[in-house]
Amino acid sequence: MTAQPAATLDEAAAVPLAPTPKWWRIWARHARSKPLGAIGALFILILIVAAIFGQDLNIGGATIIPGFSPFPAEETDILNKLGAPSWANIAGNDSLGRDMFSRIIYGARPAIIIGIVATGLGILIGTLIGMTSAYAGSVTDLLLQRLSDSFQALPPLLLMMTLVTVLTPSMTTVILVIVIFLVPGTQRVVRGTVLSAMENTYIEAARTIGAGPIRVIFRHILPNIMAPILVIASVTIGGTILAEAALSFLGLGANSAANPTWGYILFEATQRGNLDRWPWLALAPGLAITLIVLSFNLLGDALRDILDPRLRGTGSA
Amino acid sequence: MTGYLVRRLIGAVVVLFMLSFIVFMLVNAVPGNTLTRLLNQSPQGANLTPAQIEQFERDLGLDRPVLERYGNWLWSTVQGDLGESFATRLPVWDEIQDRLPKSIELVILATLISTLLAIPIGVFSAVRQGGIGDYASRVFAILGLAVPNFFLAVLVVTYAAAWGGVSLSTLDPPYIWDGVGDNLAGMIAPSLVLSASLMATVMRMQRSTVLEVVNEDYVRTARAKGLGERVVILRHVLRNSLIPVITIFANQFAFLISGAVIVEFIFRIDGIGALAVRAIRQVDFTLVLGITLVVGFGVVFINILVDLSYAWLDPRIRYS
Repeated sequence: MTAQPAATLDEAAAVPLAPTPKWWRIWARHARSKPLGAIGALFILILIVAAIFGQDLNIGGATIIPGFSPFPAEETDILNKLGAPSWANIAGNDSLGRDMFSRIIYGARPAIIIGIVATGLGILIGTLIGMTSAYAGSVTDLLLQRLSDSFQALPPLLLMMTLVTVLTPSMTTVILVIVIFLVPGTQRVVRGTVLSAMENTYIEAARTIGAGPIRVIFRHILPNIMAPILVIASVTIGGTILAEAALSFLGLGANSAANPTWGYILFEATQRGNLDRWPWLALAPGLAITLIVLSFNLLGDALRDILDPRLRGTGSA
Repeated sequence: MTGYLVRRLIGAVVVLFMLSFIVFMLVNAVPGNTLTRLLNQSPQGANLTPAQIEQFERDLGLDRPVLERYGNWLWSTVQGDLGESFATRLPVWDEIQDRLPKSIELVILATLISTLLAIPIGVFSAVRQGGIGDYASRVFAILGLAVPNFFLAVLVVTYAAAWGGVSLSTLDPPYIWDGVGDNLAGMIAPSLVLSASLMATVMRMQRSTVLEVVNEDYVRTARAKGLGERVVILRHVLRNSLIPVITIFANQFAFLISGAVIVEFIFRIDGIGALAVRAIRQVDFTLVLGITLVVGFGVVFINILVDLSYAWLDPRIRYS
């Protein structure tokens, strides 16, 4: 009797198992089943490359890799003010003769940094607060939820504008402000997910064998709510970039002379009358924002379908 | 029901109280003296002597501790007095009251436009799943969520002027009671721009909830007992698919007001949004507080209304 399990094990080892597919094969399969998500991902990749390598990559004052953008964002060409798109300036020139294509490339860096850093921090803090609120319950939960309600009763843009103004606009301020705007919504979703995850028997089992709150949260609950968190994150980045663009458009964003933001470039365009005669001034930044937000939304939808089995096949999105 | 309503109203008061406290502290307890910033922005500010600045500070009550000022502000607010604007010295409530009608109209029009278009299109899209119409509406929905409203507004203003010879961004439309035609002429383009993202959201939600509801047992029962497809869709599917969609309206209301800020700014409509932009730029914090409180009140109120509407839509829901 005692030998039998060992024999079965040997047999199992002898049977050639289908090898686990390589990670890139799994992703290729997903890309084929979700072509729109794949297109979104590709465009995001292009944008990240533009954000990193578009302008000179400086480390410690020395240029490591020169940027590939045709011109510096600030370089003016007086002979080519409001020049229409041409081979040399594929997106045209603005009213100071600056190359629009280069300005858009330079704008990729603040957009990507804010999109990723602000969303990452917002989701992280929101997750911690949501888990604490759900796990602690009682008065802590009540207070945190009412506080979150108060923040959500404020139109996001109004809250962000007020904050940026009192703190003076800069990249750090804009990130901080977007994080404050993201936390209430994220923590609410996470709290709901944790509450339903806590109903599971394995949580009860973990508690019974004496696992403390920290262990239960990080070893048992967190791994089970990672998928929804990842989905929220990918859908949120688009909204974050949109929020920064709106702030920049109102002159309260992360714009700087060296790195113009897309929202601000669009605002500059509106300052020039008769936009229909030089539409590229508005189209270049406007389409850049639209495309990147669209890409993140498409990727987010695809990720949700892949990661959230409950939604698979409902045809939503 | 009454008990539920009372509890909700108490909750609303708590939320508004916390909201006002948060905003008061944000605007007051920040690095950099608010007064100095205010004075730097006024033309005479640079020539004031320290004594005059002190006098000014005393006049505005800025020399008191923050908590005491909050207490004073709260006490007068409870009595219905929101104080006076720092910049214009006009009562804050008067400033807000003058601008509320146009902003409310803008939000109502945008909500109406998105409801009237998005719900039928969403239902149609789900019923004819996979058809050309479904495909087109999904493309529209996904684009509507990605195009920033300020980009859309800039395009509309530009091409209305270039092609139609209409200047949408120079004249502030009159109040609706001063001429419905003129008012609507100025309001329709901004409401359309404002409705775009809400329309996209509602359309997506309506489509996916209809897809869920059509597979329910009661829909099969309705069909089995011989009801026509039209009756099945309108009476059984539509009504039961509305709850998640109504929730979207509540969730999106605050975003709609955010959008109104931008749209009013671009179309030069003198509403709450434009007032907020001005107040924030001038660090006019009594005005910022007043606007925040009034808008927050609106958001909380809409949320209660939406929760109550669930009971009307689904008789199984009873609040106790």
